[in-house]
Amino acid sequence: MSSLSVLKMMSLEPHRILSGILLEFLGGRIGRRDIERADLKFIRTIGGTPWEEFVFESPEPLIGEASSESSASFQYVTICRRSASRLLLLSPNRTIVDHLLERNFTQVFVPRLRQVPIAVDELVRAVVDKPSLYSLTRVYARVPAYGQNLRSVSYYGDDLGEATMFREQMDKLSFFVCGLRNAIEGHELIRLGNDGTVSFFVAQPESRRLREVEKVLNFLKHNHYLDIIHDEKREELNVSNGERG
Amino acid sequence: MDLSKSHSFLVLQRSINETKQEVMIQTSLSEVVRSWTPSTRLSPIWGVKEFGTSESAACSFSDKNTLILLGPVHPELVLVACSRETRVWLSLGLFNVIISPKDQKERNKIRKWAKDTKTPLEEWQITDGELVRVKTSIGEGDQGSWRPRISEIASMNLKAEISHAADEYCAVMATALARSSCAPNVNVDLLQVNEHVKQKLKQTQSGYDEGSPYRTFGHLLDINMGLGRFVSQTFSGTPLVSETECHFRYNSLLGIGVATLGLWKLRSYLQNKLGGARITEKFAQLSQKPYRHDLSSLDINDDFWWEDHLKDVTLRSSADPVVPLLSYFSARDGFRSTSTTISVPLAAVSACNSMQWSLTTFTHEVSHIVIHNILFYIYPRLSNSAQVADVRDLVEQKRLPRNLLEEIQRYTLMTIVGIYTLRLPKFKLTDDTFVEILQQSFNEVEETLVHAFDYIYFYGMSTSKYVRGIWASWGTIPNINTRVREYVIRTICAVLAGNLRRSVPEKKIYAEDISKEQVLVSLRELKKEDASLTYVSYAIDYIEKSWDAEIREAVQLRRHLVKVVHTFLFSEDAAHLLRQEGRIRGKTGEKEGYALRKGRVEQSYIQNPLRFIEFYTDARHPSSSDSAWIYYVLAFCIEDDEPGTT
Repeated sequence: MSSLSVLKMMSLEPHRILSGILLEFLGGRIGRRDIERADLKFIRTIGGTPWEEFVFESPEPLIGEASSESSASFQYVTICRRSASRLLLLSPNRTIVDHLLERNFTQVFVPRLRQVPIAVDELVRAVVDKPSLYSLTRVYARVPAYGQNLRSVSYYGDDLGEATMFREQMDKLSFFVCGLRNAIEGHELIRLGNDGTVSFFVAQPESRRLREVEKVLNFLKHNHYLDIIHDEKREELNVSNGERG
Repeated sequence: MDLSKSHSFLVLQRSINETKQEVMIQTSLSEVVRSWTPSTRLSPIWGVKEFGTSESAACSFSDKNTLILLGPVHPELVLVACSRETRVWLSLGLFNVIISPKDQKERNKIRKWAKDTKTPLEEWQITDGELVRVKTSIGEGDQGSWRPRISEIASMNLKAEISHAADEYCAVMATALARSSCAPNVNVDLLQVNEHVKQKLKQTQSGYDEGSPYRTFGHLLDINMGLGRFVSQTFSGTPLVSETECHFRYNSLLGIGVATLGLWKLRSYLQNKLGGARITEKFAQLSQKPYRHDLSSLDINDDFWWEDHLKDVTLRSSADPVVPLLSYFSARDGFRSTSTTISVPLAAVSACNSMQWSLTTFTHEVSHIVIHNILFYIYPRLSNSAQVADVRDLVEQKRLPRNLLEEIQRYTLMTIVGIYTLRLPKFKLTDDTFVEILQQSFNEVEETLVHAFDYIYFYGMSTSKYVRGIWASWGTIPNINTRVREYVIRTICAVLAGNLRRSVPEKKIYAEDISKEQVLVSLRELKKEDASLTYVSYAIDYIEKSWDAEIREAVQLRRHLVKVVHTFLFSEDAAHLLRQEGRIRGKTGEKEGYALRKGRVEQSYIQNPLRFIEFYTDARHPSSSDSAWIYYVLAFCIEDDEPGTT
């Protein structure tokens, strides 16, 4: 396979859902070289955004592909967004992310990268209480009070916060997944899980969608939905934040 | 950090001729015993996969070595000062991280990290296995502001009956506080215990002890015993390690501070949530609500049975702690609660991952305390004959209840009298026979209510989890077969709480029968899983053979007790508080779970320790490694209540 055809195959395909997880390295800043040390090959920076495309070459199939003699290895697109000690690691197939986390990244990062919880419950309540840029398109919630009799519920719509029935039930719910859309227009922009999972649909032009996602992530960060408790703990511990790689 | 599946032992002992102290790592207890001396102390330690220590290997520390013991701290935090060449082990002591640095530079880095983070540390210089030098640095805990508070109690002029117990208390508490500088959070709780004791003693001084100081004496004995164990288990193995020995011989070197901290956090969580719900006080305030219905004749489908009666009760003043303030491990006491202490079997230190020794039983003990307090409002004071006569009039409907609380009292006591006078047609209720029934019934009634309370609040009405949980834990009770009858009735009664409306008499469908079948399904599953649980087979056999003749009626009679718990002790708000967990993940319909991997110590946090132990303490077989991991999560990975308020 020529290098040109490899590159073509690796490019981020449009109309794909990217899913992955928000991670943090307690040892300090994550550099591009750290990612490369985990056997990911840097391909490009996507359309003038800070988002980066890597390819992971695996000697074995990871998502159930049939292996053939012609394919000596299997290549998987991986999208990264690094920011200081945090990394959003995404792939069109979540299995790849899990594989990288469990195998490759443990060889580079000690202590292990940890998942950054997203305060979905607080986020949902805030979006409903003080609606502004984003609307809720979906929520999954637990119902703690009723134990096994009623464990969880889900709601879907263009703007859940405007539905009185939803607002009336909120006190009884504990939200763990939510979807957000731009309040002005469009479909669901991003889906967020309390364990740090993030997923979104990538349409062309890809850089436009990535910028929209970037805005949401900034919104989450600046409003302290990304694990603020441990931000403070880390500051207390005065951990060195030296650039790696 | 992946914990090794098996542990080694860190050993410190004087040599036979007692001229030097030896340090070594041994891979098994039998190895340690082969060179045991009168001074031998040991503690299990677990290796870590990422640091080359997961394979058990003996180490005699030949040549020059440094061993750094530090903690209590989440082990991942200290890794920023380590490298891949560092060797790391974890222990259950407050010095929970044991590090062999690769060189002097790394040693200095770790020291600096400990100093910057105010983490207590002890550094052992070891040459050819001999401990030649010890350096310590302790954190900045409370260095003595507690002294006047203990002194105040020590100088109280108390009755002779309790003064000795109070003296002992002062000495034990002073020891606890003096040693707790390395665990500041515990220090705060200990001061709360001290405040509680001070108030009790002041009441005694003021004559609020009904003329007998022995109630307070009993409290003090409980506290002294619990505190003594807590101090020894927690603060042994803290600086200087060589001078602080734990009486728990298997952990005599470093103690079990991580386990007791974990237990302390679990207790503290319950205190905050259950204490915050103030169920007992709200229940007492039902005296402010009017008597509207005769509960005995009110159909179960009436909305009144399904209202949240505690929801709109307002309370004014703050309350005494609901959950005992002192938790500790005890081989003798096992799971046991008093108003001030709560103990957990010592076996749970190395086996809490298993359903037999699961910490979920902790909630049963706490439920006892709540129900015990509730029964204070149901049972008359038996020593007060006027009160007994008045309540008997109420039960015999010679007078009407004055409020909702009195109606609940009447309904409950009428049920109890019914249970104890069954098939006694000529029974005549007098004050004397009434008192006799009340005395006889108390324990059984308390147990029935406790099981229903535990099932509703803590097991979330999951019949399979509840039956599996309690029946597996009963396996540790000697002569369990003799108790099967009463346990069967309690179990079915608890499960009945989830089936109260499920009766269609005209079609001969009854809630009791359905509850029985549900319990049988779960018991059969448990038996299938472990055929060695012979008492489970015995229970199944007993239910199958004696349901119609014996058990059904017993459950039917107790149905009203279950209704009291279901309707008047259940609060949606309290259940929401107790079961809420923002860190459980998984889409709707998928299996719930945490983003935690068993055996991996990492900075992944939980909010609700009750839900955590519900998920991770149901293994068939005990594992010391998995149990250690559970205590690590409980001790170091529980988020504070309010985001951003650490």
